[in-house]
Amino acid sequence: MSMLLILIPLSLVLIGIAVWAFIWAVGSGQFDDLETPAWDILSQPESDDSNKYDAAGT
Amino acid sequence: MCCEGCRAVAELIAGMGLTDYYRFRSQPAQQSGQNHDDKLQFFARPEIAAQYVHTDTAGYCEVNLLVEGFRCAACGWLIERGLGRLPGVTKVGVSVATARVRVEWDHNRLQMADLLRALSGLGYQAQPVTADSVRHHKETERRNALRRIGVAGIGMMQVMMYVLPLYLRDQTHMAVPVQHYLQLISMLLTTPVMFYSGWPFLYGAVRALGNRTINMDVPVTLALLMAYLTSVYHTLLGAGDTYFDSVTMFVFLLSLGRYVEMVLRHRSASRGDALASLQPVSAQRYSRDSEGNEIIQEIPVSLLQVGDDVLIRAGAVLPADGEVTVGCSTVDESMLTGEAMPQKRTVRSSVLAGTVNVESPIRVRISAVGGKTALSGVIRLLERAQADKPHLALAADRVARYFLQILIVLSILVGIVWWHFNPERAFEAILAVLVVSCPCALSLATPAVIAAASAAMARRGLLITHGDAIEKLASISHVVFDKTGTLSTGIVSIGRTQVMSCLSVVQCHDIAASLEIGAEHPVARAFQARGIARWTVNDLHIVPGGGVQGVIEGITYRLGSPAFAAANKHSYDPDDASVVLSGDEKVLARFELTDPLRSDAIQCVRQLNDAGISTSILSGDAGQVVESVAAVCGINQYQSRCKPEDKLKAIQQLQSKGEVAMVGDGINDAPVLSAAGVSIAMGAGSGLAHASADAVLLSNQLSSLPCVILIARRARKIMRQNLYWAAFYNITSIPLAALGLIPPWLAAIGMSLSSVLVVLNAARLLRDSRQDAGDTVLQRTLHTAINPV
Repeated sequence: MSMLLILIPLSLVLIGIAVWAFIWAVGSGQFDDLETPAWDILSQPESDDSNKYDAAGT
Repeated sequence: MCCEGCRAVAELIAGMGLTDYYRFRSQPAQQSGQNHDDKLQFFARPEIAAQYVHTDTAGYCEVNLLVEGFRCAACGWLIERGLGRLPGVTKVGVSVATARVRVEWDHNRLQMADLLRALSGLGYQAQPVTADSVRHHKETERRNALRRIGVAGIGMMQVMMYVLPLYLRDQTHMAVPVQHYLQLISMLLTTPVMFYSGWPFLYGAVRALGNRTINMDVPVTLALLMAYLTSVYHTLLGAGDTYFDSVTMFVFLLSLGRYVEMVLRHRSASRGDALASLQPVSAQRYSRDSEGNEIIQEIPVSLLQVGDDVLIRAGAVLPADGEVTVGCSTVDESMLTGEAMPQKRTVRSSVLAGTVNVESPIRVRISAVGGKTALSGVIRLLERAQADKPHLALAADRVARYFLQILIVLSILVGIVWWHFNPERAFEAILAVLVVSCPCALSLATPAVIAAASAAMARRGLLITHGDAIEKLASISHVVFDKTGTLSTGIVSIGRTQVMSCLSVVQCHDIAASLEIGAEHPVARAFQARGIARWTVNDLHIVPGGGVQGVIEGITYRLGSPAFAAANKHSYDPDDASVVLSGDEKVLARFELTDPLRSDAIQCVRQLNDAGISTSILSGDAGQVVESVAAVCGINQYQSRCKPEDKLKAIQQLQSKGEVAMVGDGINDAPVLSAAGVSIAMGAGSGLAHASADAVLLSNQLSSLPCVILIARRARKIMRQNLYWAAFYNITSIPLAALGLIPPWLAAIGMSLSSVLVVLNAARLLRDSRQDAGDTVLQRTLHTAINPV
């Protein structure tokens, strides 16, 4: 039974970390835009290419 | 300040950023009267207020406010009453779906800052809507909601873990100290869930009670507090049942329901916001430095004034309406009119705020700023429609308020009855009744559909300006078209040219163009477009009602109606709409004018007929023309040479058979339009700001009309489904809960699901136009690519 005295507070600490991580993720804007990242995969290569041309040529 | 850049930044902060600054400063810990007064004073400054407030000629003002902490119909009711009581306020429209309040008031008796002060007295923070504040507000609201859900979700899962052994304590013979230990830990975890995640409910309820009214939060809060406080008491006492798992689950499920509602609400409002976010923050104004040289200054848009000259670089968004003075470019107006192709704009053409200059830099003289631009007009109409509550929704709200009062009394009765028969379950039954029967679904049923339907229609280029219009559109059986400007483009061009002399066709066109140079009316433009004005004209003068007369190389030319130009030498049919050119009293050529049909007119009529809607034309034009247009479009009923009173009579006659929609160009047809059940005006031109029509076809595309009517019919169907569902849910769930057949956790799910279902049902209207939405996302991505600001 004395295990519970250690394990339950330990689980509380883990919950604390989970909550902190979630709040951090929300605060840093991870959930702000769930749509654009899906579009990024389409637009990214093009802009990269044009950057390369810019750097090399013009 | 070291340079122009710093200056611009500083001015921008002063012009726009202050709002945000004070929002940050007004967090609870620092909220002092001083800061709030500062904010009010900021909005009291005339130049700031002018940015948001639209004043009409009669001295009445109109503003849209975004209200924080807006949750349900009862909040709306409170705000309506609170602001309506202020002296000078003439109208208050609250949009529950978008958390906006539209206020009209007498300019002489009240300032915008007074409205904000009154709102803050009621316990709401409000600010006039600009693109910035909307985006910021949404982001904060969404993040806060997500955090609360996250905390509630994690808390719920863990509390469930600790509580499970307690449920099994009889089988496992758990020692009493361990039970207390688990209860204590559960309490520790439930407390943040209750007071952080559940804060919106608690705060909402306290505020409602403070204003001596009842909103949806009150029964929920009662249930939460009862369950929580009893559990805490039992835990500290060391005896009795605890309900921590129920509390966390309530909070989690209810927050989740509210979150889905919020996301859908934001999505419905996004059309208006998309338009609002088109307005740029700064502009580049031409001005003179101390030595009199012309320089370009970056200034906040709020400081722009009518008559200023601004530089619009390629890819930049226009800050205000104006006229091009130097340069030539194409302008993308797609967000405003739905027109996909960029439009050509040269010197003296007008350009609109919010449109994108695509090709090359232009210099623009400002003709309208802030609330007076066409873009603001569109946004205002859209917001008015969303704030306008149809009769059905008003009735639903009234029912919901009475219902809440009855509900609280009922739950007490249920408690008393259960106490007599089975005291152990009385508590559970009260909780279930309080939670299950929230009439949220009833209040949301219609506004959610209105918001979704007007957004879906806006995507097809139809702007709804009155909430009732959707219901009426759904029931129309007959559509009346005006001809010029509606079925036809209204842009006159020159058709067949009949030459009656030795001149060539080209020569005739050039002579005509020379005579018409500088004239403004549509026929003159048609000639200017066709020929080259290569001759100088002497003695040029205009004969009203006839045409123009001028001398070129010694010959007196006349261009105009047959009677004027041919000077009675030939007799012409009075119906003849053609233009004749004569030289020294001799007829040289006859030009036929055509007003081409819109490309989609035929398709529109056919689709309307397919949908079981009959069509007719009422036109003031000559018989032949109307007849041929009717024949081409496939319209059987038509009346030509109608005066406005004839049109009125005809519409009233048609109305005896069913609901009639009238499509007209909005300017000449105003009285006729207002007589029809639903009036639809064409175009986004200058007439828009005072359009009395129920709807405006911004895209000018007739083909979207049948489509929009179908959307309206579906919207009506969904609205009825929603109302039936909400009524059915509340009628069946309460007796079941009172009989103790619904456990509290099921009550929480039921209540959330009932409102989410209503909103999701409404969102079906948005889903079908997802293809279009994808297109606009693409377009917007392109815009941002071109214009990183």
